[in-house]
Amino acid sequence: MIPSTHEELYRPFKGELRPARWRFLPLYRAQMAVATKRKLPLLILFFGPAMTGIIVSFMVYMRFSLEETGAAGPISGAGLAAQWAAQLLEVHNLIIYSMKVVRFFALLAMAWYGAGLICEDRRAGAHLLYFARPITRADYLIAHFLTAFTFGCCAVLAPGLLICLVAVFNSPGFIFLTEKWDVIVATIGYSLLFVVVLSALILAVSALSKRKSYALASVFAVFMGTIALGGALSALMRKRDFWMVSLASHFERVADWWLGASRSMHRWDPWWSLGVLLGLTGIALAIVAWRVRRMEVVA
Amino acid sequence: MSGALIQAEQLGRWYGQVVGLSDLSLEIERGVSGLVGPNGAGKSTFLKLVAGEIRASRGSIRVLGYEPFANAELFRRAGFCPQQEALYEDMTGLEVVRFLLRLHGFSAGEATRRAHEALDRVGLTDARTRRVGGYSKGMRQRTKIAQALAHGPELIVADEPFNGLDPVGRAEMTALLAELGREGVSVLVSTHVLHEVEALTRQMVLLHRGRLLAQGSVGEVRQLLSRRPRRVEVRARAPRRLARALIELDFVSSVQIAEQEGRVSIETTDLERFFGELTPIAAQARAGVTSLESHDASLEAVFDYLVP
Repeated sequence: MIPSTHEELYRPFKGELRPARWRFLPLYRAQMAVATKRKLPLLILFFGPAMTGIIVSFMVYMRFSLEETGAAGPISGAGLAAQWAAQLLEVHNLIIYSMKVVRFFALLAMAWYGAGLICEDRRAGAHLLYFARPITRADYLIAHFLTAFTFGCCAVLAPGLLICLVAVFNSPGFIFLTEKWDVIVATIGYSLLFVVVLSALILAVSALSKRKSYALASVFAVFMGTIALGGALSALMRKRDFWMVSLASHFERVADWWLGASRSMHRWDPWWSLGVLLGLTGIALAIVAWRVRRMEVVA
Repeated sequence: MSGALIQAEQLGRWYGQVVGLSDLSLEIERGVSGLVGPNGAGKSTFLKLVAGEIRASRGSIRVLGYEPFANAELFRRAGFCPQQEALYEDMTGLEVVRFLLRLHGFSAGEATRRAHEALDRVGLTDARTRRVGGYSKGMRQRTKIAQALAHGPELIVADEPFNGLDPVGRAEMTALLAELGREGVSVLVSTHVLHEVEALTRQMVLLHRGRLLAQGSVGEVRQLLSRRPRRVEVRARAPRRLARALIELDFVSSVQIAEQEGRVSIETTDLERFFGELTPIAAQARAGVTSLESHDASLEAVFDYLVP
C-alpha cells in the first residue's frame, strides 16, 4: 500500500459542501448504473415490452393508414365519422390489449431489478456506507423506490405512451388526441398505478427477505399464489367475487374501469380494487420504512 | 483543534435482549487509537455509534463535538470503513469511490479527482477500472479505506481493516494508517489481532463483553496490573547458573528453566528493579546471556491478563 505514486499529501477537506437538494439522486443513479451493467438481463426482460410496443404501434399505424388508402370513392360526413369512430374504437381496444400484455413483462422486469435492492444492500452491508454519509433513511428509500419505479415505467408506461403517440400522429387531424384524450390519460394513470403498487410491494418483499433469490420467489408467490387462490375459491364457491383475493384481478378491474373495457370479467365495484391496491401500497411502504429504520438495529 | 476526539458517557446499546455495549464511559484523544477486544466485545457496536450509523440505547456520545447519529456535519468530517463487504460487485473501484463522494455532495469533477487520489493513495492505481467483483479481499479492504479517506476527513473509523489481508497486506495497511496518523488524521481502528494494533499505536481501548476493560497505552495498562507478576524470558549459555542467582532476589517470584533451549523464564513483581539487577548478576554468574525478552509488555500479555 505504499505505491510508487505515493508522493501526494493528505488533503483534509476545508471547503464548504452545499447540502444537495435531491440527495437521493446520486444513490439512484448508482443503483441504475449497477442494474444496467449487465446487458443480457436487460435485453431479455425488456424484449417483451419493446416488441409489444412496436407491434401494437405498427398495428395502430396500419389501421389508420389502411383506412385512409382504402377510401376509394367520396364518403359522406356521417360515413367518415362512423369510420373514424370504428378506427378509434379498434385502437382503443389495441391499447387495452397491450396494457394487459405488458403487465406480465413488467412484473418480471421489476421483480428482477427490484427484488435485490434492499436485501442485497443489507447482506453486503452497503447501507453502512450510505448512512455514514449525509443521506437520510428517506433518501435511501426514495432512491430504491425510484429504481424499481424506473424499470416499471420502461416496461409499462413506455410502450403505452409509444402506442398512444403513434395513434395521435397517425390519426387524421389528430382526432385520437381530441376524441380519445381520456384513453391517453387513463393509459398513463393506469401504468403509473401499476408501477407504483408493484414497486412498493417488491421493495417490501425485498426488505423482508434475506437474499434476492428469496425475494424473487416471494414476489412471484404473492402474485401467482393469489391468482391461484382466487381461481380456486371462485370455482369451489361458484362465486366470481372470490377473485378479489387475487392481486392481478384488482389490476385488471382498475384497467377495465379506467381504460373503458367493454366487457369485464369482474363485476365488483372498481373502487374496491383501487382501495385495495392503494392500501397495499401504503402497507408495503410502511414495511419498507420500518425495515430501513431497523437496519440500524441489525447493523 | 483541542478537546477529546470521542467522549462517551454511560453509553449503552442493546439489540433486543442482546447487550452490545454497556455503561461505557471513556474519552479518546486525537491521534491513532486501537480498539481491541475478542469477538462479541462490542467493538463494531462502538464504532457504529462513533460513525453515527446507530443510535445509543442509553447514555451519550460525542464525536468531534457532535452528536453522531445521522449528523451530516459529522459525516463530512469523518470517514467510516465498515467490516462488511459493502461494495457493489458490478462497479469498478473508481465508480464506487466516486459515487460515494457524490453522496457527500461533491461535484462530478471533484468526485472523480478525489476518487483517483484516494485510490492512488491506497495503491489501487492499476486496478481502479476493474470490477470490484474481481478484486481480492485485500483490494476490497483498500477500496473501503479509499472511500473512507477520499473526502478528506479529520477522523477515520476503520472496523477490522486487517481482516482477510495477507501478511504483506497487513503490513501495508498498518503503514498507511500510521502514515495518516502522522499527517494529522485521527484514526480509530478495531481489531482482535493484537500485534497489529500494537504496531500501529500505543493508545488502546480494551473492550470485553460490551464493557470497558482498560484504556491507555499498553505500558499504562500494564502498570495497572502491578500486583501481577511480569514474565521475562532470558536465553543464556548457562541457564541453571543464572536461575540459581536470580531466585535469590526477593522480587523474583518464580524461575523456570528449559535447559535444552538455554532458556530461563522468570516472573518478577518489579520489572524495573529486575532489569537493573540482571546485568551485574548475569556477569557475576558468567551466565552468557544472549537474549532478553519481556512478553509482558506486549498487548497480547495485557489482554491475556485482563480477559478472563
